[in-house]
Amino acid sequence: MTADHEADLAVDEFFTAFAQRRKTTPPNLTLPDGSRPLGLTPDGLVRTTGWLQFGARPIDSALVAGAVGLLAAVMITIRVLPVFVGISGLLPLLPTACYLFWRVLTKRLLPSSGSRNLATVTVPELRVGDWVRLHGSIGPVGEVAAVAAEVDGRREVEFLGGVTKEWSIHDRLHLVELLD
Amino acid sequence: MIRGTLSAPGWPRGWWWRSSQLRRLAVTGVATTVGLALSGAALFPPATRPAFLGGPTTATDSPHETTTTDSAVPVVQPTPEDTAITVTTVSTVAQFEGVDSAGHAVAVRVHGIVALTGCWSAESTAQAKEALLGKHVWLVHAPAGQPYVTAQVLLPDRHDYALTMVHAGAARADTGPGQSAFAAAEADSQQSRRGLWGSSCAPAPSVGSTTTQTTSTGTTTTSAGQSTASPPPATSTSADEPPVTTTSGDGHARVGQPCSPEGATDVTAQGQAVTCVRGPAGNDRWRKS
Repeated sequence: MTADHEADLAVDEFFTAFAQRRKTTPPNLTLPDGSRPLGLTPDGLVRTTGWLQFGARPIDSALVAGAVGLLAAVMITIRVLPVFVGISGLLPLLPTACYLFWRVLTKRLLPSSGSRNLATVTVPELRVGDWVRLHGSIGPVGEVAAVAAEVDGRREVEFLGGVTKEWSIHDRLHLVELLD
Repeated sequence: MIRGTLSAPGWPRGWWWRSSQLRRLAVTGVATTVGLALSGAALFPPATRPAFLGGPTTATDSPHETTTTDSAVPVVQPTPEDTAITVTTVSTVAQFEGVDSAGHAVAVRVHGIVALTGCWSAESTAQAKEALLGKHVWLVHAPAGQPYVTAQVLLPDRHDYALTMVHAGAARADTGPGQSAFAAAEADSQQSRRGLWGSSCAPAPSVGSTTTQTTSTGTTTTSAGQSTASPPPATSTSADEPPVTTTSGDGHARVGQPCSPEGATDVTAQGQAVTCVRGPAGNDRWRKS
């Protein structure tokens, strides 16, 4: 193997890597206020947080984590308090720690957008620009780029960023409003 | 595939995302309940009684086969005023040390019993350690913050410790008036040949313990009058505190009933220690110690 050939391979490798990097750059998706969704991923889908919504009010998962921490703290405190009064400090600390951990997780480590389900529609009712859940009533969200024609009672939906997914024309999808 | 991607998730995430909110709430509720139950089981283990305190009665020299039954010893519910401590050291069946919730060390002299000396004392102490060491016990009406107390002691399962040990034949009832509940328990233990009474160390039934019940920082225990086969009656003496006067009641003292003399102590049929206290009208009546 000659030195020239090795140099050619290195250049190829560099540009291949560059091309892959460009491919993984997230598409230019923006919220109505012009900002980019916090949970935007390279393939154009938006990671969301939250799995509970009462009416139009989504419940912050960090609060759920805090509530679980509070339950655990109460149990531990009841058990340990008779022999160590200082354990009472756990009562405010553990729920706060759980809350902050979830906040850090969804804001820094795995950035995720808050979201609110608005309504459900069938695939034929989808419009370009709609934000829609890819799996059920929670989980990632994509912005509809195109809806293909019906084939055998099914339609393929393409999302900004290139991800495609096929549904039956009778399936109902959740339209979503991204909050951040 | 477990992790997957957002567009093609692994089965756990995919299942969770596709589930209805009702199902997610149900799963979360069940998971939380199971988690709390497991945590509770770990944090609040059932108050287990040592092997020698439960099961059938036998008559052998082995302390672990000398048993009693729960039903023979009344359960006493501790009150919020009772001091809770964790036992750290057991010296004898009648003396141990622990730490209270504030971390203060407390030396406890158990009300109503005396430690065995000589023959079978090691077994007695071993049973006391099994019953107490590392356990969370209550000192009924014991003044908080005192380094040395004499108190009625409740085991984690709320049984009176002293009565339990006497009934198991692991301790002798203190002598003197007002000890009839303990004397009855000891008589029962003797009759059933539990613990000491089922061993070759058993003293003659007429031999009792002679004790001046005291609370002290340094109670000493000496033995006397021991035959070759029987342990001596335990004699505890102390000069640090005046002896406690006990009444000659029949052991069925009831709270609120008249009594005499003032200052006398007794134990109710339920195992509650009571003291004869002069009321505002000048009448002496039993009150919880």
